[in-house]
Amino acid sequence: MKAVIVIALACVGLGFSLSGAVGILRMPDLYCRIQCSSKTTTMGALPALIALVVGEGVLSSYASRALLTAFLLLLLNPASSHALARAAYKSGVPMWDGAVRDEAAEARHRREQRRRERRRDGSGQED
Amino acid sequence: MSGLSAALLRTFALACWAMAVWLLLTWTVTAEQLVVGAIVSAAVAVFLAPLGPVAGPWRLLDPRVARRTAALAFVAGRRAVAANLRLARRIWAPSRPLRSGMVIVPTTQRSPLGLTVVGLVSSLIVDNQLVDVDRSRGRLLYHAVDVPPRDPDQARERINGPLEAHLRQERG
Repeated sequence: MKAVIVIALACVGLGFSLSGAVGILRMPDLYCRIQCSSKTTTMGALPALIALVVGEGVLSSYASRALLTAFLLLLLNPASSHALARAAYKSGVPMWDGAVRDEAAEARHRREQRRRERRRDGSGQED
Repeated sequence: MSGLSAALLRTFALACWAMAVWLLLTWTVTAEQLVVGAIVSAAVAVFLAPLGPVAGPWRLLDPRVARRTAALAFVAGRRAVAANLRLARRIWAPSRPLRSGMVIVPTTQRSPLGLTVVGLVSSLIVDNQLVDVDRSRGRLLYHAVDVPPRDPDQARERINGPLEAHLRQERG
């Protein structure tokens, strides 16, 4: 029974990891690829770690190290993907053409438009 | 609390966390391991304590904090699994429409700890990735694989609202 659970969990982990790898190839832009590369692989690693705990026993040294690894994965993966996405966005890496909207760019555009209008109004009053 | 006692408490909290990591790594409870672990943990704590405030592990003994943490973990886990399944389906069936984009959502969190928790936990859910934080205006910029409606409240409800419901409200 234990072997069946371990195999099932390992297969779930493998499935998510494989999805992440295929997603990196199939996603249209960097931002979507970051999501596939970081988070889908987290969901791939967690079932594998649970399989290790089930296989080796909850009170084994494997379980304690699996818990530590899971905690580090859950903490560091979103932090590193945030750093990657922020660096890409700040350095101007574009989204794909089919992206629905970019509210930050829209807000920036509105601010610049207001600034131009204020400048124009100011020079008009001087005339 | 005076500066010295705050620094001592922070160092002690860090030493407790370091000792927990030591115990998890070694998984051996002998006198030698415990003494070496305590010395190493104390050294690490003294070295790292000046970096900033630390929440001690005893905070989890507070029933309210424990309940909030468990609820947050449950909501995040449920949403992360559902979002991963949706994305996996989308990856294996590329004909399904992809509605990705950058969205700005309001947040009720203002403290560094609150924003970090919301940013990390919401980014664990594969639908959303935190890109930037505007702390003064209480706004978060997310890359969403499936963009929510344009209404900020509806967007918040889809991305960070369910998580923030389990955090202390800090609207400034």
